[in-house]
Amino acid sequence: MYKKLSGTLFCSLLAMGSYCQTVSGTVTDGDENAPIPGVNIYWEAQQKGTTTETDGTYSLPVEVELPKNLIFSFVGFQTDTVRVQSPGVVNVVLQSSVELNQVEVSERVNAFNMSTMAERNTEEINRNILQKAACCNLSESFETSASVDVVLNDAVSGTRKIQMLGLEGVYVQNLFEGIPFTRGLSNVLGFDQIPGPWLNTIQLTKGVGSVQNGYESLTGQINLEFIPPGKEERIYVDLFANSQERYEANAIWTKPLSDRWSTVLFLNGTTQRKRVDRNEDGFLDMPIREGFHVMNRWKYFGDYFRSQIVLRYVEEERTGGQTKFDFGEDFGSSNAYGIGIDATQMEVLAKMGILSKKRDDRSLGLTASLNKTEIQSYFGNRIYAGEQISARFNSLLSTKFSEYSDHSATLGFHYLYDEYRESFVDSTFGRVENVPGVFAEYTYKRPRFTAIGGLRWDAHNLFGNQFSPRVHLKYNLKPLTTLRATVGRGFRTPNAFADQLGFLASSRQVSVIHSPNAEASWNTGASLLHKFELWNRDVVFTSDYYFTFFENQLVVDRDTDPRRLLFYNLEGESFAHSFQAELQAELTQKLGLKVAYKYQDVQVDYLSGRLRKPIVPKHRLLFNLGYSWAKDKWIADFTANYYGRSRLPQTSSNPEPFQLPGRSRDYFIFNAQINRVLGNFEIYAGVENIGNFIQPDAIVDPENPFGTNFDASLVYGPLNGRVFYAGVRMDLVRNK
Amino acid sequence: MKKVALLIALLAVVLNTSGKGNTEEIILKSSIVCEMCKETIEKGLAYTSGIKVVRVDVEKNEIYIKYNSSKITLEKIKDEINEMGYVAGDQKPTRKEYEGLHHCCKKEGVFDD
Repeated sequence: MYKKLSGTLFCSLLAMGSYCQTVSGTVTDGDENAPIPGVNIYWEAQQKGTTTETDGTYSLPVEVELPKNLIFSFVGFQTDTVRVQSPGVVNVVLQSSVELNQVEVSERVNAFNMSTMAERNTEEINRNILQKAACCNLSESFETSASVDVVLNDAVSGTRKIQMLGLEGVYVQNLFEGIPFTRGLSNVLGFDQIPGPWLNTIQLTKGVGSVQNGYESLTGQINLEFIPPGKEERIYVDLFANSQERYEANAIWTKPLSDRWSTVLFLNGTTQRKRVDRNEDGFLDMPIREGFHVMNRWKYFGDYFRSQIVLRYVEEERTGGQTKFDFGEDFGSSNAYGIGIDATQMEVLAKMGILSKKRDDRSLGLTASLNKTEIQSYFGNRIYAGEQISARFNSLLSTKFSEYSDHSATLGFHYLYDEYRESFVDSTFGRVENVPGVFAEYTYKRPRFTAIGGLRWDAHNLFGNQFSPRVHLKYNLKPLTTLRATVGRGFRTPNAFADQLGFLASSRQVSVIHSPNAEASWNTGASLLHKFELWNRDVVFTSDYYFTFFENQLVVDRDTDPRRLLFYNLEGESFAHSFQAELQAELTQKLGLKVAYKYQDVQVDYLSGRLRKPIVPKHRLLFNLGYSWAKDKWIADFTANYYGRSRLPQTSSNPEPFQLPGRSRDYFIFNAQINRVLGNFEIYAGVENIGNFIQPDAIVDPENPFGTNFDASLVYGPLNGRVFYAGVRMDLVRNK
Repeated sequence: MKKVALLIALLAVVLNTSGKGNTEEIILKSSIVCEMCKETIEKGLAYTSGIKVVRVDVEKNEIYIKYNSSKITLEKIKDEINEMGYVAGDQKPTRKEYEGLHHCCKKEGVFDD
């Protein structure tokens, strides 16, 4: 029972001056500018609180130590969290929340990032957290999350991929505010193509996603929410530089155009020009790189009609390989080994929502996207080029069974078109995918229990009829203790080259033994989330276990023959067990702690037998401390990551000097950063990889890159060494 | 034979009484106006010890409650509903409790003035 605590009554009873500090103010509606009565207001992770009066005003005594987060929530509005520094007046404007196709994260989402009310196991990474670690692109934004690991593909291209539940990032569906993107050939750049400062929130969901978003989420979903337009015109600027002469500049300009129209322009430029070879193996540790990213979004927010259109352009160029490599002179010869990747991408995303005037539980949503991606690359003398044109359309109709029913359903029609044209050395190949599909999702929602059941039927022109049933269950044992369970099937079309382009950085002969079939898997898991107070401190404990097994997989085999890279359809079993336990606690008002442990057991039946998947550590630990002082004007953050030993692909048939141990080393990575806020400015400085751990012998036979033993694709750790960095952020509001 | 009958009767009594104490059901007329009211009441009573089922019927303006009378009294349930700002059968909320409601949830006639 939410007990309303009458602030003024309580304080007048006690009549103790300093103890009776209050926070008070008015809560209004962002759209109508009207006061909102009945808004739930409570201190983070506490049940006691108050609600606003008829005139939207409230008064809440400060019975907690400041600064602390104060949460404002009301049905139909986006929950607002305000960091209260001192007693006084806090006025809040709530924005209404009718967003389609998004994982619903209502109520009780706070700095601990896990909601007790959301249907699925979702971890939220908000801007506060993104800014505590070195920016800069999305791959680098997961440093304080134990759920996602970021690994280099190889030792020369600098491209990265993520790992979730022990499996590669290609099995996770990436969403742009609910619309799938960064798929297919776009996986070559992966998350490097998304500048971190553009993001507002990242939502990580484990387990199969909703049928509404498509069939491609096999192990999870990562939903990206970008900086939205607001009521004021603002410019955010984010500049970054590090000791390896990598520079990044970001500018985000939000502008309301009228009551209903608004726009945001995002710009990013990235450059890395310094040639660094710290381990002196003759190869650049990180490639020379230049990137340009621009995005523009237009939003219309009406009473019953909302729509948005996003235009995005990405251009990236990287050159790596030996330090003496010069493209003009050496490309095509065997004087020096170099790699290069040129990527261009153009994308349009649009969504539209129509709300029923008579029934506010009925809505029609439409999303569409169009994407063209081009990759031109070379690895030594092997050239890979690819072009993909992709078009997607999704329509959803959502309604409750009757106006006040606990039952609701969403029906939809989906269409995906993919055209691929690729060439590798002297072979060309291509395919066209034509996939119409229909889906239905039923939700039963009660205060403590929610069940979602979804069914998808996609008629794939190449792989036949595919069914993807999915179930999500959520049960609140107590208001702050949530149990979740999920089971479901997903599938995707593998891309032998684009999914792991970095593996071409070797002398391995590539053999695609079978024509790839669709990869399909079943995933099931359960999670527990428990928030409680220990010695008057807020603590959150989460634990989850997921099991994924593949009906079919395009097995990427580097074991059966160290001189070959084999691709074949799975014959046997391929599965992954992933267990994670995490504790987050407020040690003192200013000091936050996070400790997490992850266990991964991933095995695949290769041609040479059942083996542990290489480069996936069994054990992983994360430790993070965050400290703020002087009322959040100073913030310090320290992270220690431990990666256990992982199996390395077999190299026992190589000549002796080029044999690698069966297992990798285990290692620690320490990062630290300090932020200082000065009004509209924020400056930050930090160190990555304080311990200067560099993977020893990352490249096999670096002296003869054109010889048969050369292999730069067996990377399990950092190649970068200790890096110092600094940056500036500005948040400028244009006053009229 | 008699023993078996007695056993069956005992079993029937035990099975009919779900748990310790007596399960009672009641339907209370209230002052419900919209979906928000339904959510507020159902969520507000969801964790109350002793209450097994809460179902709000917006159209009929009724709250159906199934509860364990040895764990919670009907009076207490009515008090809790009042605290949220709603009428509970014969019991009205206080003026202050009622004023806390969102304007869309205020029903005419609850306070006649």
